[in-house]
Amino acid sequence: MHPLEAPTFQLAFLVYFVSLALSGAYMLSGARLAERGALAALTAGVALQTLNLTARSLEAGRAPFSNLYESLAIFAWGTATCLLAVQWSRKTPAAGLTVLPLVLAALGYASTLDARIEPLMPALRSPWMFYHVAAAILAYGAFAVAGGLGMLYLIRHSLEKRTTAPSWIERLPGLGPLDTWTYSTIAFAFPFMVLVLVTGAIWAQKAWGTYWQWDPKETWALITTLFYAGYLHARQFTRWRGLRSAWLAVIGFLVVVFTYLGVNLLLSGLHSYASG
Amino acid sequence: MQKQPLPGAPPPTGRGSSLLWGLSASDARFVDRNGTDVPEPGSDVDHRTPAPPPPRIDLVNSTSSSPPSDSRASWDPWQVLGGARFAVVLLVVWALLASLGTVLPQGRPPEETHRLLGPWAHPVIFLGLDDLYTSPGFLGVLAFLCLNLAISSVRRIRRVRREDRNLKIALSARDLAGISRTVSLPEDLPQACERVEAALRSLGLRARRAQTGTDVSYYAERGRWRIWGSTWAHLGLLLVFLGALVGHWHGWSYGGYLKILEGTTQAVTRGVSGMPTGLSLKLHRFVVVGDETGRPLDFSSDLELLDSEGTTLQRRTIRVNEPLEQGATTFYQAGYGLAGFRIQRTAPQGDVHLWRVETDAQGHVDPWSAVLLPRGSGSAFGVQDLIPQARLEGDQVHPVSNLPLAPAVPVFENPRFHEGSQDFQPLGWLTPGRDLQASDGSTLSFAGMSVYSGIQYRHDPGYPLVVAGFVVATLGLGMAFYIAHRRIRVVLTPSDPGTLCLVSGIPGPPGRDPGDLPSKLIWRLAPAQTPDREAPHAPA
Repeated sequence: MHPLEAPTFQLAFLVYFVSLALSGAYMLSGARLAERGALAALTAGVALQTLNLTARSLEAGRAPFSNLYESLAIFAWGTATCLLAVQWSRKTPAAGLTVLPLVLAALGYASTLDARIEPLMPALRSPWMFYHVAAAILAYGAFAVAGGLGMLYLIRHSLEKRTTAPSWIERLPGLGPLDTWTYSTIAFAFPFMVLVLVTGAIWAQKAWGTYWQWDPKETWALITTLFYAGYLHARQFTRWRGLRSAWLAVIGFLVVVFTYLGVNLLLSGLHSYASG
Repeated sequence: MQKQPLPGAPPPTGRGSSLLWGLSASDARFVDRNGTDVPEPGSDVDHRTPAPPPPRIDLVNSTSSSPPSDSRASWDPWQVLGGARFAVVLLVVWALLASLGTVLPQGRPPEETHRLLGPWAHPVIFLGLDDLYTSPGFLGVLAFLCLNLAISSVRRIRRVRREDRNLKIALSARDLAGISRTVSLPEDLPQACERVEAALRSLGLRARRAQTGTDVSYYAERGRWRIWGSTWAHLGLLLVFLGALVGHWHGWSYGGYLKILEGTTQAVTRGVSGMPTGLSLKLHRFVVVGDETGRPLDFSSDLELLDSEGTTLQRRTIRVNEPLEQGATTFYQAGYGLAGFRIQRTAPQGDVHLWRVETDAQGHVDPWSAVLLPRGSGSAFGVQDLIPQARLEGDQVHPVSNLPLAPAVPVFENPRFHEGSQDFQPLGWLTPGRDLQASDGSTLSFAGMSVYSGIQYRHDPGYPLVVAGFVVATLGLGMAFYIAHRRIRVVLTPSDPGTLCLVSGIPGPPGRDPGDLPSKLIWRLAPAQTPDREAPHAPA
């Protein structure tokens, strides 16, 4: 293991936690220092994780895509990076409250797994693995952020219905912006999700001789794509906006979690690489 | 008209102030300038609220990426089958069916399905859920989805072309009065037109010009490719499904699996039918590389593809992810296996006998070849299953993997076989380089394994269509989601002195404003007349 790998992993976890704590402090107190500190900590966390993954890549001689430990670490990085993009462009740390727990959970679970660098199996030695996993990281990370924004919408919507809403509600973004940002994030992620299917199919054709076999992982990736395609169509052509859209974003992320982890743990198939 | 501020949103910056539609609070409803709810452009007619008065001029008389949705008053099958609501229903149904197939056993023999599902097996088999992905219901939903894609694509193409033909370029200053921003230019009309055209070009806008009386009008846009994005995406999907249909049409595609030993040639047939294809494969060399823990690192085959006359079409080494392609037929390194092994018996007198042991498809020793009977009064020998990769620790053998790297086979001896005894006793583990001495004085030595290379092949004429569909769909999605379609209108009218320039942004589909293009254009034409709060952060 590269000497930088373990310290940067642990530091990144700690810094993400600090960002989450500062986001919470900003929501409760409204302190500008806490708001800026949350964004700064998130930026530092992403930088540390980038360093961590770079160190591992240099040590392994390949991208860190081959087992569940690496997959969780790269998923956490992808989610944190998408969150950073949203927070810097929208100038609000509120989304960190619902998204950073996911990042911490992914890193925490990864820390319990075997982190040894293993040589790649023959089936994984393909440039298509990079394209396939890179597209998945971007898509899943953005869907995670969209799910977090949808959760924020539900929280704010629920608080607004009370007769006396807490004072910190005003530090949450408004329902209109949250709805728009959720849609924008999903719209950004959707083409990458389709790329996951496309690159996976081409890779499967080269490795296994057929581009589609209704393998559980393939099927659930398709289901995830169909779900968000339905979301985009429903939003574009019907009145499924606002509250309904938020619920769909949250449910959609649960579908993503099942596709990403549930299939590996509960169903068997050709995609057994990331089961441990 | 003023854009209503959203709760919690930053204060308006003046961008998009020429919007015809605005967003209201909470559920992002659309309101007109009086704050009355109005239906979103492209949505169903809202019968609950009275329709707003029509605008004086329809600036949105241009292309849009949103096809007209189903109208509640229309039961035209063409509209229903190609409508977005039907598409959403189909997507949901298809997703639910597909998920069902991941939890129910698929393609298994009925007895195995009964064993796995118990009493639930009967309804599952009756409904065809044990072979869901080829069932009529599943394929029927897919067929309707294809129909929906085709109809919606045709409608969208027609609408885009119709709107393009009907696009009204020529407007007058009176048409834009009240819904545009104005700036005074010191030049006369011809010079002002040149400046405006240059400014539009510098913003990356492609302009079309028309004249109405003394007024010159421009319709300028960029990112027009976005209009075609969703059409390409849908057509790309149709191509994928068409390719899949071609590839799975009975008789058009075929496949198979060959087990080829080194130095041998096998004919390529059309799958189970056995009909010849005119091709054959010769395996020159098969190499397996693994580590000491049994992890496979690489396995490759040096193959030669021959035609019906024995002429070499291709010769190359294939491995996983690096198949051999010949037209629409592809040969893959799919696996390997044990075809048998050889043991050499050297008698005390020096006679040498080669004992060939055959194995079945699972690598188990064929019972008919597992026993070597003696000539005369010598011992009989028997073997059990060979371990392809084993680790020896003294007399203990530990299986490592199925990689044929360090074989070990247990050997048994019966010295009294010629007296009628059936008692075979363990003689030891035979490995390469470690001979066994039998009680009759003979020596047994390991003389090699026969390993076959598993080559899977498939002839799929539909795959190129599938790839083409992937490319088209991906490009379409990129156009639809990552290209911003921006449009503005400019009218120049002579004034005394100079020229009056009216600029108006054109709103796009719901939620998309024309951006700050009007501000940018005005800033380029007359920076001094642009209020600071509306000045763009930096010119594009």
